[in-house]
Amino acid sequence: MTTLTRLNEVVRGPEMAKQQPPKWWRFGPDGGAVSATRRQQAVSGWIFLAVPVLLFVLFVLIPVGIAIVVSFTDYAVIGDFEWVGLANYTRLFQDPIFWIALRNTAYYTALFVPLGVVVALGTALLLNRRSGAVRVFRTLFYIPVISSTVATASIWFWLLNPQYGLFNVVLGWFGISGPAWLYDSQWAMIAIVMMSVWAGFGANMLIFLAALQGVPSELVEAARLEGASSWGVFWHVTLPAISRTMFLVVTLLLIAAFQVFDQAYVLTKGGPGNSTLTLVYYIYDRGFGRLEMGYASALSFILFLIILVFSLINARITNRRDFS
Amino acid sequence: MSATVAALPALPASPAKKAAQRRRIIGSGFWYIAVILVSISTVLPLVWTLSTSFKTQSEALSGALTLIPLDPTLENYVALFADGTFARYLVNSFIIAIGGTITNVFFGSLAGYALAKLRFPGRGSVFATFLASMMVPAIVTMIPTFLVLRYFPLAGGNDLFGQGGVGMINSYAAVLVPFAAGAFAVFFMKQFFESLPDEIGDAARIDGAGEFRIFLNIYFPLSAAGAAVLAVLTFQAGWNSFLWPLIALNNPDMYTVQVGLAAFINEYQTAYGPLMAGTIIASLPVLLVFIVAQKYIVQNFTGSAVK
Amino acid sequence: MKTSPRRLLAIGVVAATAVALVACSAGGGDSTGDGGPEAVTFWGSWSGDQVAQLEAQADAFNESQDEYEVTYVAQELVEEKLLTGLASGDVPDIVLWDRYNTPIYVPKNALAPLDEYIEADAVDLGQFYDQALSELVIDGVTYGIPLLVDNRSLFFNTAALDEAGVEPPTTWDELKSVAEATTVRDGGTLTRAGFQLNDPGLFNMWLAQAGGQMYSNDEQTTAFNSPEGLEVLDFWQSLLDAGVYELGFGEGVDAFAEGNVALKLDGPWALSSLDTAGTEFGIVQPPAGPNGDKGAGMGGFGLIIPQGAKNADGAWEFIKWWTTQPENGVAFGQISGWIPANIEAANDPYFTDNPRYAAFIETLEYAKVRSRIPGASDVEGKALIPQLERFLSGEINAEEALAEAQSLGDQILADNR
Repeated sequence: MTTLTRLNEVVRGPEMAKQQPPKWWRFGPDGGAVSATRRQQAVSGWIFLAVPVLLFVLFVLIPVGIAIVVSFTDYAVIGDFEWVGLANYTRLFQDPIFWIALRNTAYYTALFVPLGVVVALGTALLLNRRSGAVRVFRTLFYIPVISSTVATASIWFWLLNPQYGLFNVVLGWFGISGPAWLYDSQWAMIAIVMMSVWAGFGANMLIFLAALQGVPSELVEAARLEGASSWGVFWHVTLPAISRTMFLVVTLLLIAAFQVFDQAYVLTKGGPGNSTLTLVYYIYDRGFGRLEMGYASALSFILFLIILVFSLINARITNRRDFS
Repeated sequence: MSATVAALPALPASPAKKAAQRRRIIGSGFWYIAVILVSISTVLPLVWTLSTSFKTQSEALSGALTLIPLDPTLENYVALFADGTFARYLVNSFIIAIGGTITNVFFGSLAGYALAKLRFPGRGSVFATFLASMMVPAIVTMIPTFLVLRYFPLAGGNDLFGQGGVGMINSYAAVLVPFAAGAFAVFFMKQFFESLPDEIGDAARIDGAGEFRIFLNIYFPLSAAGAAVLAVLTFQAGWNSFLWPLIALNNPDMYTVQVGLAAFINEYQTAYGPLMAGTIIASLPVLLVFIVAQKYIVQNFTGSAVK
Repeated sequence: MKTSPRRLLAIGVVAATAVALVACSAGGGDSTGDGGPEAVTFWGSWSGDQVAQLEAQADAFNESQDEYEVTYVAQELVEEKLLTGLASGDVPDIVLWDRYNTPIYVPKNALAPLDEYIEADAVDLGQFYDQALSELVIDGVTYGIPLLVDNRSLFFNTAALDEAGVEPPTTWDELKSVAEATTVRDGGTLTRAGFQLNDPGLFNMWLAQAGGQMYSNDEQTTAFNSPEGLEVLDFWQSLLDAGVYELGFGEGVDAFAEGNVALKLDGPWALSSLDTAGTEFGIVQPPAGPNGDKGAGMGGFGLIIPQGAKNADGAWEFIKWWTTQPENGVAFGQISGWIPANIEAANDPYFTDNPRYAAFIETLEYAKVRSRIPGASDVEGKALIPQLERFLSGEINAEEALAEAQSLGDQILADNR
């Protein structure tokens, strides 16, 4: 008996409940009062969803469609344009700047993702204990997350000034002559990675913290009793237990890393020496700097495919896992 | 725990216990050192920025690592607001952030409720599509969205075919409308509504209440905590957004505070004092919102991730 | 009772859409005064202290007549902003335009031809430096009027040179020895750089000093990967090895004004902030290369009217006022330090009698504007300068830098043909 039939009995009394339902109630699977409310729900449901669905169609579905179409033209907003077929895509593969952008983005990803995981997991492990102090530190660790990328960039712009910035002054105390950071083509990207890790680790730390709560304490104790060191416990018990979260965080970081833009635009404009020219920066530069929207759309799609590949790989790996 | 050990009468602590105690204290010590070091690295840059914003130009460039300015001054803040443009940027950012928060919380709750509580055909696929849309990288849709707004029929001087005018570009609509009811808001509120019992709504339905009534008077108040967190997150996202306002807003009068701040950097000669002052002002609202709501945000993060 | 909440909902949806549409009209409106002077919007990339200079000049124009009122708006990356402005229908009326960029933006239909205005008002284009004018003429059509000319000459800090007992250099060798003599280190840290080698964009002038050229005579390929090009980079390397400069030194601040740099190549725009700082300095011509060749680059700005400007007439009046009336060009020079492109204005006693401008005017004699070959600015911006930046960072050596720049540059030229 469904809740509704039970309610029906309670509300209307056992005698009346046995009676034939009034005509305006059609038959549902248990003869209960279903259909009119069902229709009401359906209509309301779609009305409630109307605005988000409409916005979705206008600003996600249609744009994706437009992006595909425009990538086969030489559309430039002003002036005439024409269909060019695969020309944008062939140009892309022969464009040395595209390969530079791809390489830079891959370099950034290769540095950012592992570092991001290590710092987030490390700080989560640090805070994974019961103590009043932990809450305070958790908040302090989270603070960089709330700043905008621009605010973070301007702070780090000052921190990284080759002469007056905190970094080089402190390095100077140890007799090390710090590099020119954002003005040095070999250090600029590294500076941006450091800045991005600093700004983002708090959020992933919280995700890891939650996952660490789910590590079975019996297993940890059992391992300890068998004489495992802290490292052993971590490697053989903790890490496998949070593997699903690990893959989640890695995917999130990967997707974010491939779309890095704000820092490259605000701090270095892709330089010096093109070392911080990332894919999204190049797309922005071609699309809004030179109005080569057709080419920029083609570039966006290649980026989309790259991200899709990584997401699918991640999905397959996580799905293979046995989780209860 | 060491207190309990000390309270045991008579028995002297065995060497092994003493050693374990010592190890614990040293471990504790190391722990404190580690967390304090990390905290310094997260907090110091902001504190230093704050400090620099009150320093004179010469002191800021003196290379001294003083956290308390020797000669504190408000001149950087004055310079920042001198010609009124920065104040304008703040107003724009507020309008956009608050507007976005209101629309997202309202429409997101409504849609999230519909997906969680109402039964109707197609709701599964709608949800799946929303979820999928969250995976599309932003840059793919930015250029076409720009074009959609530019050629939107009957907007900004456009005719029925979207020609002739400027569409919605360069207006608050350009920044508010595309993100007024995002997939994240819908997804987030759906999770919340799902945790609420169905029975209340069913009972009200039996009583003949309309669906919107049920939502507004029953479920929405119950989801207040979730709506509050969503409001905070949406406000932060709106306040901090940079790339889209950079693209969609061309008129300097319309710039948000992030776009305005970015323009200060990378000049031939950066005025660090006003830049730091601007950074502090640009970060204050999100910081305040965070301090007020941090308990809920952090709780929420850890809570939902466990599922 | 069942319908009213639903009606409420429907009303809510309509209201929200209405708000959105109202917001769109409220945000994008611009004001045109009725009865008062017509607004003329003036864009440029000058920011910081230079904004006040342009505003002062605009005020002078506004006061001189009642028909138009010019307002300056600083825009980072103004050329790109212009394109987005064209795409979104919000263009200014007049732009302070880096002449060098003209060949890129004319094909995009960004600039309005000015020939009709020039003819109607019988403007004599011969009154401008012809090098400067040539940058604004594409296929015989004039797209702008030259406004300011500049070149980079050698600034020196008088006190620093006196301290070291040296004279301002005239050749590369002298430059190096003077820089070495005036470099100061505190322990191992550089506190005063002898020569600020921070602008690889000036490579073309160094190349001219070495006797080389940027492009082949047939304008089909690049020609900077040559013995002369290598000579320039070897000289730069020797300066770095001698420790007269470190990458990143003095960035983000005016190090020369603070006395932390002894020699630098800079233009007339630097004069006003040096006066404010009170630094004692002198200016000589850029050094001659190993074979005695002199080279300098002429750059500068012009005034252009974008396509679709709402108040092109007002913009033209401002252009005429500033460029064809010499006294206004001189006035701007007094505010900003910039030399006007109007020959008569540039030869005003204010400049010729002023020892600081002597070197600039002399250099203007042989300064050349950059190439207008299609794609040339991309060659410099995307191919050459990034490789030179990598060279200065020590990432690659001179041969690699020039070779990479050449292959990328040649490809860009080919794509643009």
